[in-house]
Amino acid sequence: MKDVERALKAALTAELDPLKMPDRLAPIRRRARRQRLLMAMAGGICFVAAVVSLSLAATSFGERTPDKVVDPAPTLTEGASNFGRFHIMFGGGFDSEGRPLEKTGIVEINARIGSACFTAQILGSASAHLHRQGEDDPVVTFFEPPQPYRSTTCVKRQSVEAMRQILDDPRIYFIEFHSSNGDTLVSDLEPFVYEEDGDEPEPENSQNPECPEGIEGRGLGDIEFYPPKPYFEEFNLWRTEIPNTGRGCLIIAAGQQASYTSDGEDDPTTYGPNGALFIFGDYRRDPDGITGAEVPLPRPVRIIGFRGAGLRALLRLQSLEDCSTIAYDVWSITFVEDPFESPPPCPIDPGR
Amino acid sequence: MEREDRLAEIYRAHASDGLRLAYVLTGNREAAEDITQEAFVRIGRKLFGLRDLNHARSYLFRTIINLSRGRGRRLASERSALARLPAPETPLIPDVGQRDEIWTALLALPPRQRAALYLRYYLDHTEAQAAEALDCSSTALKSLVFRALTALRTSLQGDES
Repeated sequence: MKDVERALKAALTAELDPLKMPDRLAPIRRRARRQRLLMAMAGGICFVAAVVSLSLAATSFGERTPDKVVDPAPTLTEGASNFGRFHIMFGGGFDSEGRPLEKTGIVEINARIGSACFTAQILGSASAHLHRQGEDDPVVTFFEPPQPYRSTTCVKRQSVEAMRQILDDPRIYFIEFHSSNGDTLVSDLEPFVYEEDGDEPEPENSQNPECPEGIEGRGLGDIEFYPPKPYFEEFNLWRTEIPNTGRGCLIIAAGQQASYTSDGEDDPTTYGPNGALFIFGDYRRDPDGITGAEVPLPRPVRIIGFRGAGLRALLRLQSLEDCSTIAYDVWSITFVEDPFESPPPCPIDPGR
Repeated sequence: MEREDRLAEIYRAHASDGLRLAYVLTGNREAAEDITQEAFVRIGRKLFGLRDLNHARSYLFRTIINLSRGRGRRLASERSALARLPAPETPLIPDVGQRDEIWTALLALPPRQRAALYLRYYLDHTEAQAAEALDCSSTALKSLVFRALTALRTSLQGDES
């Protein structure tokens, strides 16, 4: 065995000694800063969701509130689009080619799964609602006090019928932001103008029509990814708890982070062009659970299954391009035992 | 000390060793650089949580091992997709000659065995240090190294015969 050891040492020395890591500190610092920001956003979403759920639970304890009607088996219009993306704008107008000059936010409506998301940099806003003209009650409440300002949020379990109506006639809806000092900003929903020819991002349309129906995931099967667009300089975040664990949460960021290298070039490697999975975990195993870990996605996918208990679970994704499936062992891809301090745990929605 | 000064300090101290580990695991210089950079991004994200800078090295190595595994899985998917495509008329990569026998045999070993050999025979880590970096017991590390050396020897003898 000694001869093998000597040969191995010689081979390792010859091959590895010349290797030196080039100086990449600048892009590393920039990406680390951005990721810390993302993690803070994600932690905020988890916390706020738990606070809201606790508030709702406390409210319903003393008085009976009407049950929210959720269509158990939504039937959607055959052939109609179930997904829409809209600009929300304040001022601006359009250029000579009809493109909006000011793009301050994006609203996305998914009628198939009854969700609505927005991304907007409306500093100082204390609440955000989507309204239908002539009606006082909001159709969608994105956030309200005491939650802090958020730039990206998604709400699920919305009425499928209401989402359907928004998509049918978006021009009679508007977004309203209220700032803490009483100001109100209003924006119409303007259909998104795509900058790439024929590249519609709708989940349904972007799938191969021969794709079989996805297996309903246990709690996660209704979350979808779709190819992001270059305009997108924020993240689209979805949050859900990891089933069967009673703790932890899975956050999915679909959307390429725009970042730039030191020479001003785009850095498309950040999180990959198809978004990433951010898995925030089980604090018994991952003491630094709030920061979790991210996995760049190799292609645009949707989640079709999540099986197993604890974090030793299998996450199955299906490609939107060719229907092939990709399986990830959640534990092995995400967690390393590390010597970091434990932050406060990410609370879980107690209402579910 | 400022967070970014600490990151720079860790980078200067450990980046090249991390790169070499990633290279042993992937056999590809560019992929090794990318994986090492990604590992430092993760360290940069968590710097305030570090109890002891000495742990950064172990954390770096473990992260590199995990990232290399993830890359291996993605490559397996890509390979199966490529296998379905018709063969290209000309080779995509020019023949750059046969690698050194032992290096080729090393790259055929499972990643953890490769990492164990790198830690023990290149970095000259003690069994305890290598076991910490690989997140296993000293006994498991000994077993990994023994199996790796046996496999190397078998491979080299097979080539000779």
